[in-house]
Amino acid sequence: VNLPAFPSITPKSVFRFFTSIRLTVFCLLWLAVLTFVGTLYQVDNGIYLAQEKFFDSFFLWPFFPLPGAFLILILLFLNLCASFFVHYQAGWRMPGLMLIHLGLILLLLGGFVTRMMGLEANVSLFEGEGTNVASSVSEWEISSAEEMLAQREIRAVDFSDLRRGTRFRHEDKGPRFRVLELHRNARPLPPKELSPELRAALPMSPSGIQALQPVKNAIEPGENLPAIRLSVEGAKNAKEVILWGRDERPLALELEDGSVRFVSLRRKRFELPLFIELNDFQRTTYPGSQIPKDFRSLITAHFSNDVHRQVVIKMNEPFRVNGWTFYQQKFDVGPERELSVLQVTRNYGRLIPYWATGLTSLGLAMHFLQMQWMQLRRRRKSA
Amino acid sequence: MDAASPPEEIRMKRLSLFLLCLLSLTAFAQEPVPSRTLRAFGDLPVLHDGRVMPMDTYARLALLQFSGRSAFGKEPAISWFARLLFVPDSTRDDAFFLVNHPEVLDAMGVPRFQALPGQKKPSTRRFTYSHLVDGMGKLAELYEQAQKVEPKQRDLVAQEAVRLFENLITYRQLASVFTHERPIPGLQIPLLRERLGLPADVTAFSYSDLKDRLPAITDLVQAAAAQDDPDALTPEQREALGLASYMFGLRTALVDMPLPLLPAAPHGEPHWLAPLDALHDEERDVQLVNAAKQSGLLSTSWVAGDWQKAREAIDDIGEFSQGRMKHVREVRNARAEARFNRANYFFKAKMMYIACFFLAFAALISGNRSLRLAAWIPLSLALLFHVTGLGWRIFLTARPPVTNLYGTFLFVGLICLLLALLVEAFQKNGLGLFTGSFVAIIFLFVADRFGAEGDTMKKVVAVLASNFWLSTHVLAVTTGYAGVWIAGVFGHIWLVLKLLNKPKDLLDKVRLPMEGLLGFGLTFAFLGTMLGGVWADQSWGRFWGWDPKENGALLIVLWSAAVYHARIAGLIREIGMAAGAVIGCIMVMVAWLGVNLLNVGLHSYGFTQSMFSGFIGYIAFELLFLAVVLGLLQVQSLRKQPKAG
Repeated sequence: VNLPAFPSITPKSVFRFFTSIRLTVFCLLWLAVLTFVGTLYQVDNGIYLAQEKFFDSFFLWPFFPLPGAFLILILLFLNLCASFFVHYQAGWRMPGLMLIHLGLILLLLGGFVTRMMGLEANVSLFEGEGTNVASSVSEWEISSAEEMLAQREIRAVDFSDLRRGTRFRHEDKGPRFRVLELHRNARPLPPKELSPELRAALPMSPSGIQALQPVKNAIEPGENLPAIRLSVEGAKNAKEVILWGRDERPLALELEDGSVRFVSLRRKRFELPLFIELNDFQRTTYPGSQIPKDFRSLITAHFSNDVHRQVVIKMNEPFRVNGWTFYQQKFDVGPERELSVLQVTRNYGRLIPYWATGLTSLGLAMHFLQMQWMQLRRRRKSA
Repeated sequence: MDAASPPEEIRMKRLSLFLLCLLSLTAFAQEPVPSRTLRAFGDLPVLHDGRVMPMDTYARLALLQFSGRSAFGKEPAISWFARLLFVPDSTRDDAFFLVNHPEVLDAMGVPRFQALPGQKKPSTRRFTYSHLVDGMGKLAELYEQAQKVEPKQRDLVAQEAVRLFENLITYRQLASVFTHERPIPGLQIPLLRERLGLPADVTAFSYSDLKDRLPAITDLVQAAAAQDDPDALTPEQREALGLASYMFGLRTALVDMPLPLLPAAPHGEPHWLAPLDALHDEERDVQLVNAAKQSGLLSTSWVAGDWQKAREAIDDIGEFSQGRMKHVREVRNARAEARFNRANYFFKAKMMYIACFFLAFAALISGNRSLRLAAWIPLSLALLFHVTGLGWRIFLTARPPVTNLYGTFLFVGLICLLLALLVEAFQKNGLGLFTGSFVAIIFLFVADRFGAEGDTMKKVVAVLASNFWLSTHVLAVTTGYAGVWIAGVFGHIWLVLKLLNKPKDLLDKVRLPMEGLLGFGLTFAFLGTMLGGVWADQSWGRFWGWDPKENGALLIVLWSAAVYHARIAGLIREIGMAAGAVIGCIMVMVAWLGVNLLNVGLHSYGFTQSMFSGFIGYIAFELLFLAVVLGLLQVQSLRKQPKAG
C-alpha cells in the first residue's frame, strides 16, 4: 500500500512557512476573530479576564486548543521578519512597504518589551500622607521580615512564580516552605466547631482560617484575594500555615535559633526613586452639573532630604521622573479627607511604539500615494 | 383667612377663579408673539448641565426630553417653551409626552389612546398632561419601586416609568418657575390691604407683590404669635397668619427650581439662580434682585401681551447676564448659538444632498452630461451648509467636531463626501456625486437620530478634554472610518454591477477607487489607532489595553490589511475584494457604534439602547446582501461553465 509521504520538516520548509503570505492572512484574520470575541467576552467578564484569556495567552481551550493572541503575535512577528528579508530585497522601488513592515516589526517588539519589562502599580494617598512605595494592583508576594512593621530589610517571593509543590525559602537560615495549595482568589470556609486537639492540628493562620475555598476570578483583578497553604520546616511553632490576601497582620514564625520571622501574603511592592507627599487633591465639575471638569493632585516630590519640589499631576498631564511615570488615576472622597490614587508605571520600551507608529504611518502614506501615482500614470498611458 | 365671613370668601374665590380663567383665555386668545421678541427671548443665556446655552437650546432640549422632537408640530420649541413658562395652562392639552411602552399607561390606569382635536386617529405615543395627570399617583409608586433596583437591572417598563415620571415632574417644575408672579388664587386680604400699602383698585396679588411687604407681615405674625389665646386673634392677624403660611409654603415648595437664568456671582465660580431664588438672594446683591424683578416683569408683560415691556425686560436681563459674565465664552456666544440653531444648516444640507442624489442618479442612468453638471448646484449648496454647520460647531464648542457620536457622524459624512468627490474629479461620470451624496444623506439622518438624544454640545469629561488628542487621534480614526466605509459603498456598487453583467471597463471604474479608498481608510485607521495608543500612554500610562474602542479600531485595521494580503496572495480575486470592502463597512459600524452598545470601557460615550436594534438590523442587511449577491454570482458562474460531457 502506498501511503502519502508525510511532509518532511526541513529548515527550508520551515523558512518557507514563515515567509508565507498565507500565514500573514491567517494571523491577521485569526487576530481579528480573537479581538472580536475577546471584546464581547469583556461584557460579562471585564477587561482583565478577557486580556488574560484571549490576548495574553498562547492557547485558548474552548474544547480543543486554539492559538491565543500572544502566539499569533509571535507568529506574525516571525512572519514579518522573515518576509522582510526575503520579499523586500528587491522592494526598494516600494520604500513605503519597507517602512510599513519595519514599523510593524518595531511595534510588536515594543509590545514584547513592555510585556516582559513593564511595571504597573499604584499609590493611594490621603491628603497629608506620603510614601516611597507603590503597590501592584494584581500581583502578590510572600514577604518575610525580622520585624513586624519592617519597611526595609524585607525579602519577598512572587506569588505568580509559585505552583503546587514548589519549595522556597526567603534566606539561607530562614524557614523552608512547600506549597500545598494555592488559589488566585479564595475565601475562608466557615470555621467548624472542633475539639482542642483537632484545633491544634490545624494550619496556623493570622486570621484563624481553617480551610480555603477557591472562588471564581473577580472581574477587576484588584478584587482577587489570593490564598496559599504551605508546609513549613525550620519553625518551632508551625508545621503548616495558611496565608490569605486579607490577613490583617503577618504570621510570626519562631525559628530554632530563637529569632522570629514575620511572614505575610501582600500586594507586590515596588520601591520608588523618590518620596511623594500628597498636599491636596482638587476636583472640579462643570457648574450646575456632576460632569468632571478636572481632577488633580498637588504633591511634593522629595528626591533627597534637602531636594524637593512641588508637582501637579492631573488628567492628561502625568509626572515623569527617572523612567517612572505618575498618572492621576482615580480618587475617593472620605468623610474628612480625600484620597487620590496615582497609577505608577515604569516601561523601558515606552517610546518604541511611538517610533513604530511614525514609521508605519509614513510608510502607509508613501505607499498609498505611490500606488495612486502609478495608477494615474497607467491610466494616462492607456488613454 | 377670616372664617367669620364665609359668603365674602366664596365670592372672592369665585372672582379669583374667574380672573384666572379670564387670564388664561386672554393668554389663549392673545395675538402671536412678535418674532423679534421671541428671538430675543431665545438668545438669553441660561446654565444647564454644566454649560451656558441660549434659552433657545434649553427649550429644544426640554421639548426633546419630553417628546423626542425639537419642535411642537409647526410651533418652534422656544415659542412652546415660553407658553410653558408664562402661561403653563395653555400647554396642559398639548400632546407632547412621549410614552414608548404602553404597558406604563396600563400600570398608571390611563387609556392607551387619546383622541386629540383636529386629528383623525387617536394618539398612541404622545399624550397630554391632562391625560396623564390622573395616573401620577400610580406612576409615583412605579417610580419608587424602580428606584429600589439598580438602573442597569431595570426592565424596559421600569425604565420608561422612571423616564416618564421625571419628565412629568420637570414639566411641573418648569410650569412653576414663574408661579410667584401669578395672582394667588382665592387670596383675600381686605383688612391687610391698607396696612400693607397695596393699591385699592387691584384685587389679585402675586407672591412677588407681597414679597417686599414681608417685614410688615412678619410684624403682624409676631404679634399674633405673642397671643396666648387663639380666639383672641384679631381678624387682621388671622389674615396675616394665613398669608404668611401660604407664602412660606410656596417659597419652600419652589426652592432650587430649574431654569438657572441669572448669574449670582460676579467673580469666581459661576453660580446661576432661578428667578425666585435670585429674588431671595441672601447676599443682598441689588443688581441680581433687580434682574430677578425684571424676569418677573417679563412674565407678567408676556401674559398681558405687552410686548414692548416684555422686550425691555428681556434686554435688561440679557445685559445683566452678559455684563456680569462677559469673561465666560459661552455667555458671549449664547446669541450666536441661538442663531446657529435657527439656521438649521444640517437640515438644509440634507435637503440639498437629496436633490443632488436624484440628479446624479438620473445622470448615471442616462449618461446625460447636463444632469451631472446640474447635480453640482445642490451639492455645492449642501457642502456649503455642511461645512458652515461644522464650522459653527467648532467655534461654539471650541473643540474639534468629534466630541460625541452626533459630531462624528457629521464629520465622517463630510469626509466620505469629499473622498467621493475626489473620485468624481478623476472620473467625471456622476459616480462620485451619486455615492457621496448617498453616504452624506445616510450619515446626516443617523446624526439626527443621535441629536435627538440630548445636548449635542455637551461638555466633555475630564479624560477626553484635550483638544490636541481629539484633533489628532479622533480626527484620524474617524477619517479612517470614512475611507473604509466609502470603499465599502463602492464595493456594494461593484457587486451589483457585476451581478448585472456590466462590462469590465465600467467595473474597473468602481473597483479602482474602491481599492484606493480602502488603502486610504487603512492608513488613517492605523494612524488613528496608534495615536489613540499614544494618548492612552500619555493619559494613564498604557499604550494598549485591549479596550473595546481600541479593539474596534484594530478590527478595521486587521480586516483591511487581511483583505489586501489575501488579494496579493491570490486567495481572493475581484469579487472577494469587493465583498471584503463590504464587510469593511460592518467592521466600521462595529468599531463606531457596536462597542458603544457594549457599554464597557473608557470610550463608551455614546451608548443608546434604542440604537441597538438599528445596528443589528444593519448588520443583518449587509450579511443578507452579501449572501444573496455572492450566491447569485456563484449561480451565474456555474451556468457559464461548459457542461461536462
